[in-house]
Amino acid sequence: MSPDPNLPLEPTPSQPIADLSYRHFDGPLHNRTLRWWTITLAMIRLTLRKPGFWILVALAMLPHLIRGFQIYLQSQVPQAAPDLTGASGSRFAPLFFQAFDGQKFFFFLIALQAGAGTIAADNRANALLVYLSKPITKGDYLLGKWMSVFLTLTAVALVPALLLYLYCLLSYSSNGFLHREPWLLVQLIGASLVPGILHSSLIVGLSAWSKSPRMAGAAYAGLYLVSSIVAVTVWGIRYRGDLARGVLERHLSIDGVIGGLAQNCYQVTLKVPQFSRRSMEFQLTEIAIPDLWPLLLLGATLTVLGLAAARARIHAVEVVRG
Amino acid sequence: MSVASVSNLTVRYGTRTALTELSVEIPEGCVGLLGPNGAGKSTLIKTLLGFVRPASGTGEVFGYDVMREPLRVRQQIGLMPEQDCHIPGMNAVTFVAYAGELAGMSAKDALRRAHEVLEYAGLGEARYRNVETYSTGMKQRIKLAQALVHGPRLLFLDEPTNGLDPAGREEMLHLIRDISHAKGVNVVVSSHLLPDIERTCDQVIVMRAGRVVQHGAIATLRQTRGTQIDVELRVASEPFLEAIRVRGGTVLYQTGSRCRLLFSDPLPDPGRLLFEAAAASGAQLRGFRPSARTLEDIFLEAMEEP
Repeated sequence: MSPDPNLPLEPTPSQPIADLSYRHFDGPLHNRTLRWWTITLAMIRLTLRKPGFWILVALAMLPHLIRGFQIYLQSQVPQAAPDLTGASGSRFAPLFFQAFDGQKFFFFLIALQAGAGTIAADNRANALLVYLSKPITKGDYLLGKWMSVFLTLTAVALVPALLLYLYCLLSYSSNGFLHREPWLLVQLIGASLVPGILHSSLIVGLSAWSKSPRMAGAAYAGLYLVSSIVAVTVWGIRYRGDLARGVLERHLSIDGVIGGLAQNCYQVTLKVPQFSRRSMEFQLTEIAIPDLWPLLLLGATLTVLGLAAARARIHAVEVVRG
Repeated sequence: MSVASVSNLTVRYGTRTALTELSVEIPEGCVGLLGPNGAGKSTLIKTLLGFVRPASGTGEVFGYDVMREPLRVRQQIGLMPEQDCHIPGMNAVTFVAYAGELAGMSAKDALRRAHEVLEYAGLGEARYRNVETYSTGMKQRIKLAQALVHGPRLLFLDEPTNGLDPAGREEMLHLIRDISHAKGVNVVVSSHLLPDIERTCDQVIVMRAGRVVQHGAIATLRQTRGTQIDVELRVASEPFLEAIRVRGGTVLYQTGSRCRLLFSDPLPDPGRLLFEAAAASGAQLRGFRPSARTLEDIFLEAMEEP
């Protein structure tokens, strides 16, 4: 059958090639139980698009890379490299803790970058009207935002630690690695969860009270740095004669709680240099593991406070009560 | 058939009562929500969306209780808020698709649908631009697109033509009329601009001080009682008005040299009566025509009623 010769071969400019008019959507709308996951996924995608985030991630991986290189060096040239065996007898846990300790400041910076704008930017752009006019509860919204920061931070803490663990497992399993460190995997997972929980709760809480991500970030930076400086300074002044005392006071800050809980997870002691007036030289003082329960209580309180502060500020509309 | 209804609804903000024992049914089609500032229009919309918890009373949208099933209600509704709103850091396609996913669409459906509604809203060319770089008119359009993406059965449009230039306003009104009249979506338009309501809506609900003072089909409300005539004199003349009263007429209002007259009985020849009154009072008649009540008249009358 030949085509009709009268029909034009190509559509003329006045003819749209597709129907651009409104068509009703009759497809399924799901009542998902994990509604918050949509928000988490979108926020993580936005974070991953920031070049600054990847720079911080690369820097945050350095401590584990350096420790891995040290382990490799020691296995190759035992005389040239320092002995990495900890005083407690477990060889690898102190290494993992030291790497975690080196990452702590980067966790804080990543929390600022990924978390300061979570709700503050939404407040500025009136985005809560968009969210809460959809079938999303305040709890879904808060959980979605919190999880986006938490998962980001936990991944940054966990991935390099797991890679280092894998390297140790592959290289030293014949030397009794698993036998000497049977709980190391659980310990590193536990320690990696701590910064995510604490940072994300506090930064999301502060972010909810601001319309400017910069202001929220500045407030959190102030809180984090001032509390750390004050806690360590007070501890240093009060116990300058014997730094092994007052371990708990040293951890009364956001950074201190994260470090203290991680220390509890890895079960390692710290060694800090202390100047001795008798010998007129610096000596290494061993600092015990801080008590778990007070730190856990403080951490839980900060987490709940942060989340409660955020929950109190999440409204679709500002209601002025007179 | 009504798409939403409230019954004995009272909403208080602290000591201030925003809605007082409000009972109203929002019919199918395009409905205009009118009222001065503080009348309770936004509070009514916020209550139907579940943003505000009422002190007493009930509300339903498509049979779902707004207090008990707010998520089901919101799945049926699209909201185009008055103020600018977007998700920071997203381009238009991502934003609208994200809004669709939040409403319960699958990621694939939401993305396809985002392209469709952006084309429909006239943002096809600008769909990959960050929403933060949009002009006011484009922001209005994207608010409409995000409200439409999940195919709501009821759309709340709060001041949809705010900040639009005349051409943009024209296009927005055309879109609203198309959605409500050609596509079968129920629309509630809250606006201060009476001509916008008149252009797009078939029904109107007029609110004042938290109560409904007038509601019904615009065509019905525009019908005048008795015979109403708009008269223009050369100069305002009280003797002319008196002569009209003597002939059984009522002066509905007078503005300068213009006035509106009401005669309860049908007049076979109104011109003759007016000329007689003018001759008797010495007034000079410039013109007259049968009155047509505008929405503004309906609104003003509703505001003046005790």
